[in-house]
Amino acid sequence: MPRIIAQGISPDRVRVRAARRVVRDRRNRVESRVSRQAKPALPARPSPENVVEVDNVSFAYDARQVLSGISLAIPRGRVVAIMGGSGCGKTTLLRLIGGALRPTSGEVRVFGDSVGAMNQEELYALRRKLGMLFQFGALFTDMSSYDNVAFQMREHTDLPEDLIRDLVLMKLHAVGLRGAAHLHPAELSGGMARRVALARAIALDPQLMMYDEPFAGLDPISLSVIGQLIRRLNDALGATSIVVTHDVMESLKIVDYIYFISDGRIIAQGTPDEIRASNMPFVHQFVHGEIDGPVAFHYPARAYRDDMLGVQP
Amino acid sequence: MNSRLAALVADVGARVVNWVWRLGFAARFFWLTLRHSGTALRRFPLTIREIYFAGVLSLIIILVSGLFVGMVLGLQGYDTLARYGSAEALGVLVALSLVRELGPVVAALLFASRAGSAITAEIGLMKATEQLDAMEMMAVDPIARVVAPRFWGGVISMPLLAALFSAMGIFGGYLVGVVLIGVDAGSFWSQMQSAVDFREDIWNGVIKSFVFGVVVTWIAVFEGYDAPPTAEGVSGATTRTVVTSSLAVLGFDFVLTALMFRGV
Repeated sequence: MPRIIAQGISPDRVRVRAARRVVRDRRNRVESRVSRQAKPALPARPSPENVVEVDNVSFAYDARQVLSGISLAIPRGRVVAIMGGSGCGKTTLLRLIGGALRPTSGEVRVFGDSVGAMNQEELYALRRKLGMLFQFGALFTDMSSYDNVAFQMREHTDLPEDLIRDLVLMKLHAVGLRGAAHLHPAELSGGMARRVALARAIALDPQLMMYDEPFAGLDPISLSVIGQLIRRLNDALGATSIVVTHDVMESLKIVDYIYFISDGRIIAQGTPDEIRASNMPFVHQFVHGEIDGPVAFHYPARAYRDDMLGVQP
Repeated sequence: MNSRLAALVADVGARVVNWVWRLGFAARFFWLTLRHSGTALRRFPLTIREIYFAGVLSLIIILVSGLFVGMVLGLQGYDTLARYGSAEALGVLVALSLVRELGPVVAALLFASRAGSAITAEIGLMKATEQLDAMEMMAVDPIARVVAPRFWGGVISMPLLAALFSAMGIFGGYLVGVVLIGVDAGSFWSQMQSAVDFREDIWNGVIKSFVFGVVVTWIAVFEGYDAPPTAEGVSGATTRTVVTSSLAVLGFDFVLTALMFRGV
């Protein structure tokens, strides 16, 4: 507030500007919704319509190869799931898109710019357009829910505190937790903490939302709530969402497109209907949760009989 | 035999190389912390909050320890001085021991175990629970927002705590020497006043405690930031903070004492 008054701008003008921004955002949202409806099936080739393009990307932690030549595209306005078993490189892919890691080879482009070539300032400028929901929320434990949601607004804007209050309450209301604004993370259940973290992630109306295992460890009700929120917020904000998950049933309900990753490669992709109907052994095993198949139940070992009888190899 | 010796040499070599690497990282981290201190100093409430956690919450242990160290100094000092018939110099002995040496050093050791360990554990747990990653993804630099305020909070608190420790110690010495044993109060205070030099003794003590503040807090924030993001990693880092910073305080104390008081 003091800084704005010092610049000769009254709080009323700030409100008028905020209202204009809301109208403009709403118009953009409608336009993006219309353009989404007119869009053909997902393009895999480079296109200005793609918010994220991952082009032949490989990544290794020291000697351990995690991703091997992954290519995918995520078009504007869509909710896209990246699925695969634990440790298949899903989260690594998300970190590459967010610029927390740099690819060993290949290129990751977000909003048309190569993330691997950015310096810290450019990366931070990009991240202001991104929102990320971490696996267990990653809420700041020394702050209340309210302050968690207000964090980015206070760090990145000069908005007066009363306007921040309105915005924070709006965000918390969107996830149904306006009444929990004063609670600290330790006082929230797992599902509630995830929702507060979601409100924090959308605090500055990001254009690209990334969700890292948003359904992990949630009860069925919280799980549906988070699922529906991901879809609704994506459409309301006119954003694009990437959901990294291994929860098949919930994801198939809410996403537009799915990429399957196994051993660092994309092995299948398609719309939820195509995935449900797929008779590819891996996809079938994954979707139906079968304990044996291409992903074997037993870790490779020598013959059971030899082990039991103590036969020396 | 030879191969075991070679393995031993290789192991020692690997530890030394690893230690030098970490020292390099720590130095780079120190430079980054200084470079990103703008936010901590511009938004001073962030630093004030850390002064509260590192400084104000350490007051009890510092004040009580100071009192008892001063009381013991009073007892021991009187016993020794009385043998030479100069018990009136007790005030000088207590004050000089505290402001030059015991105040900064013991306060720094207590500060390392009380506040240093807390800083390491807090930053380490923030890292383990992805709070620092989340901050990075929100385009907020954790070094500027989390590390620098804690660093400056510690650096500002340390000289104040050392001064309070010394003051409390002198009071403890007075209680034992004057009130309990019966040394003359007038000579206790006047000899202290004439023998303790502001620049030589008090100011050098302040410089010492400032250096200890920088060293202890630097080690604490670095260990926290560098901790492996597991329960075991954070507990190891907390232990290392206390051990390393205590040893560093004693080492720096010797060097600083040699530089400051060599001719005195």
